[in-house]
Formats: sequence, C-alpha cells, structure tokens
Amino acid sequence: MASRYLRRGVRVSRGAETVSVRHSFWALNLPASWIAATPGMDQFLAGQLSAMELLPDEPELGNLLALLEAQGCLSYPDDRDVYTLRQVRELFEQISASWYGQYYSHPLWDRLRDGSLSRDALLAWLLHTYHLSRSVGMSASRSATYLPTLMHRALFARSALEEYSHCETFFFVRHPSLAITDEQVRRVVPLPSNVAFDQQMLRMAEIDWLGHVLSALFQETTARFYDQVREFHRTVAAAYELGDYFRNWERHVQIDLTEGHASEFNGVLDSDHQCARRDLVASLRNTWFTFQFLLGALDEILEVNASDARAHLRMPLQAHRLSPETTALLEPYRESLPKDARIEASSALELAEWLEQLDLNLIDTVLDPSEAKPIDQGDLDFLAVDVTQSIYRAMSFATEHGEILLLGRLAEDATATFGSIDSLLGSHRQPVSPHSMALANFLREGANRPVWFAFLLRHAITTASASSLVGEQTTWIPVSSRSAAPLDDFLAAHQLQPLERDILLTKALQLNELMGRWVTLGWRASPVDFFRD
Amino acid sequence: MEEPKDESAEITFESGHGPAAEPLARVTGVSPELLKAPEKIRQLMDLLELPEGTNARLTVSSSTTIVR
Repeated sequence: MASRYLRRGVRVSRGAETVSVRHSFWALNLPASWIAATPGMDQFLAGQLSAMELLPDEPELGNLLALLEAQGCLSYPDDRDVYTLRQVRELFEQISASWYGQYYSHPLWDRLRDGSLSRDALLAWLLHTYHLSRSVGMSASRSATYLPTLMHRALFARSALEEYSHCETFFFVRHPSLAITDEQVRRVVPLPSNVAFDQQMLRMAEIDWLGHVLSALFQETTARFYDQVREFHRTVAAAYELGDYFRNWERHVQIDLTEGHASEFNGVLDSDHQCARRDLVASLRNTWFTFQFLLGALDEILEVNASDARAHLRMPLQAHRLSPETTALLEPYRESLPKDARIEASSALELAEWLEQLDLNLIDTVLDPSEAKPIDQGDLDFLAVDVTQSIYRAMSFATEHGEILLLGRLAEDATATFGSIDSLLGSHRQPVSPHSMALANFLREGANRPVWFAFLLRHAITTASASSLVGEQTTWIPVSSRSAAPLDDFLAAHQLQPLERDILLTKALQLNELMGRWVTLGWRASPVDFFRD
Repeated sequence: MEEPKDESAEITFESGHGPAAEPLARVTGVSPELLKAPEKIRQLMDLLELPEGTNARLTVSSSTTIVR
C-alpha cells in the first residue's frame, strides 16, 4: 500500500448518512459515521493521505483498502525507472477498469436498449461495429510487417489470419429491415472516430507494439461480459425487430472465448521483460487515444440520431453530382452548396481549386464558432513535427521522378524550420488532444500515396487559411510560400481518372471533419496521469 | 457448437444488513486472473468484514463487446 492514493478519477460524494465512492462499474456506499470515526479516512478520500498513512491493521479498514485496490481505485507506484511487463499488465487492468466504466455508461447504450435511437443511428452503430472488425486485419498485418521482433510479428500475423474475414462472416450489415445494400455497406465512409481509431492502430502497429497489444487486449477482454452481451442483444433485437441479427455477433464472442484471444495478448505481458517508464507512458497514451476514439464514435452515433440529414448514409462523393441528397458527408454544406453542383476537374490542382470555389475547403460550416478556442502550443508543435515526418514518409513511397523531387523539396523546406535533422527525427512528442493525433494520423496514412498526400497537404493549407476559425493556427503545416508553387505545379501535372477524383474529393471532406473536430474539441483535452488519475 | 467456457467471474457481497438471502451486490466480469491469485481471493473473502453498514451496488451494466 506504499504511497498509494485514491485515484483522482474516483468520484466521492458525501451525504448525511453515507459517503459514496464511485469507480468503474460500481459504487461503494460507506457509513459517514464510520469515516468520521476513522482517523485519516476523510483525508484519504480527498486524496491527501496515502493508504499507508492510514492504519490498515484495523481489519475493516484493511479489507476496505483491499477492495479499493482490487477495483483499481488506488494509484499505481510511479517512482520507478522501469516496469516489468507483469507490472504493466497490473497497471493496465486498473486503468481499463475505469475505461470500461466510462465506455459502458455512455448514453448510447440505454437509447439502444429502450429503442429510442432512430433507425439511421441504429444503422450507424451496426456500421461502426462492422468497421471496427474490418480494421483488425489491417492493423494486425501492419504489425506483422513492421515490428522489429519475430515474436511480436508472429503474434499479430496469427491475429490477422484469425480475424481478417470476420467483417464478412460475423459483422457484415445485412437485414431486410435495414435500408442499406451490400454494396453500400462495403463502400460507406466510416465515422470520423472510426477513421481515427483505425489510423491510430496503424501508427501503433508500426512503432509501438506495447500500445498495440494493450489496445487489442482492451478490446478482446470485453468477451468476458458474455452473459450481459447476450442480454443486451436480446433487448436491442426486440426493440428494433431485428430477429436473430446478433446471433453472428455472439458466435464471434464465443470464438474469442474458446480460442482465448485475450489470453494470447495477456500472455505476452506475462514476462519479467522490462520497459522504461517513459516508453510505458507513451504506450499508455497511444492506447488512451484509441479509447478516446472508441468513445468518440459513440458520440458521433448520437449525432446521427440528432441529425436531420436528407441522406442517411455517408456514401463516397461523386464529382458529377454533389448533393446532400446523395450523401450525409455533404450535409454540413447544404446551405452553401449550389443546387446541381458538380465538379469537372481533369487534374489534381483543378480539383483542389474547385473545392475552393465551392467553399468545400471551409470547416466553419461543420462546426459551431462559439466552440472554438486556441489549441495547445504543444499540440501545434507535435503536428509540425509529425507532418514533416509524413513528408519523408511520402517520399519513401514515391515511385515517380516528379514525386521524389516535390517531396524532397518539401522535406528540405520543412526540416529547415527545425534547426537540425536530429531535433526533428529525435522528437518523440505526443499531443495532449486525441483530435491532434487524429489529424496527424490522417496525413500520415495519406502519405502512403504521394499524390494523395500532396493533394491533402494543399487542401489542409487552403482550409486552414480560408477558415477564419483556424486563424493563426496554421503554423503546424510546415510548408512555406516558397514551396507553394512547386506543389501546385506537381498537382497540375497529375491527371485524374474519375475514380481517383472521387476518392480525393471524399478524402478532402474527411480531412475537413477531422480539422473541424480538432478546432472545436482539441483545446478541451488535458494531460492524463495514468498512475494517479 | 460446444458451449464456450464462461471466463467471467462472479462475486457476491452479502451481509446481515440487507434483506434476508438477498445479496447486496453481485459483480460479474471480474478478471479470472484476479481470482486465481490466492492473496486476492483471501482479500475478496475478507470483504464480508467491511465496516458495518457498507454496501456496494453496480452503477453500470456492460452491453456489447468492443469488437476486434
């Protein structure tokens, strides 16, 4: 119990008769008179005394502290330089208990239980689940490709092989009462938080095996709620007349349990291998981002519920018919978009210019101006570094003469702003806000295709400049005016086929969504202390 | 298909302070690993000796899994 305090996230509410200690799934109600009569207990509940400073020799007090510890209510020792993986697992069990409590207390679940969620939002939730399943094969394969150790590559290769087809076998959205075709299911654009989740998993899959394992463990461990899952599914199926829709979902949980998927990730942590504190905190923060994106998706499903969009699906854009009647992606631009709007661009530059002409490079329309506040300077610095690293990444995927020269020039230009290459590449900064990470990740993944990256970079520049709300917060894009002309020349030389034109158009609006959330929500995040909060 | 092994664990808190034969709280979904640790089991059993008048209740019900 040495130096273990009540975690700051534990909610203590005091009444006349009882004091309630709430954490994770439950509340412990303690007699106020007992607390008043127990020396130091008040200060302990206020976070001012550690457990050791109480008198745990008292049996009742010792038991209470044991209960609080078992439920993850006590802080974890944070004074070590290194932690064994077993200790990491112990710490993460405490953290994830709190996360499960937050996740399952989201208002979405009761709306699904009582059937008060619209069918459009119900469909958005089913698609969200389908997209979560679809991401597993991608992220696990990325780890199987990039991680430096054979053990970790093999772990994720097995995961990829086990999971890749589940989006088709268990989670494909198909039911006569749902207004969606098979083709639409395959093509629908994921919610912004689903995109953010996928891309954060992909980032970790390349550079942070521990964060990837912890995120996978967090997901897989929910199979332990099997009984409640079945009850929930029965309730939702009855509320929406979905029959045995969730039978496949439950079969999937059974597979998770019988094949011990959580156990496999747990087993990796059953080791005395040591992890430096700094690396551990970085991995926990990466994992926390994925958790925030999972929560964000639930919020976005409720946004669908509140929306009066004319199109109920987020279908990819088609340049020959830009109408909010055809895709929910255009709903924020309903008022500003001319009737019968269309784009006739033959080059990537022309497409970018069309977006400007149609005000589709404005994020003001997708957010509430009163919600915007300055972004943390640390997050802006992180973005500047990460976007620069993405420029190098894009050059690493270049295959054409023009791509190499453009991206080389952009890299040269951006690197100069950091003083030295060492300070750029040596930066391990992480943002405070998950929205900053989501924005960085979108460009990072975009960098896998150099032309798309160049297009998105230009779109980000014009959006940041044109959207008054972003104002001076453009310093995170490390492209100077010196590189603007070469960037335009490159995009002008790239001829677009109709399919690529529509893909870029859709990606531009997805980038708008992430920038909009970054501006409106990015300032709200505060640093998390995983040992004490 | 064979019925899967249910890996969730259940803990029931009872004391003389609640209605007869009615548990104060039944907590499921506790990590099985937690219950395999003898010291943890002892601590959990000891919970029956919490301060008189203490009770615990679930505030959140889990719903569906976070799919992976």
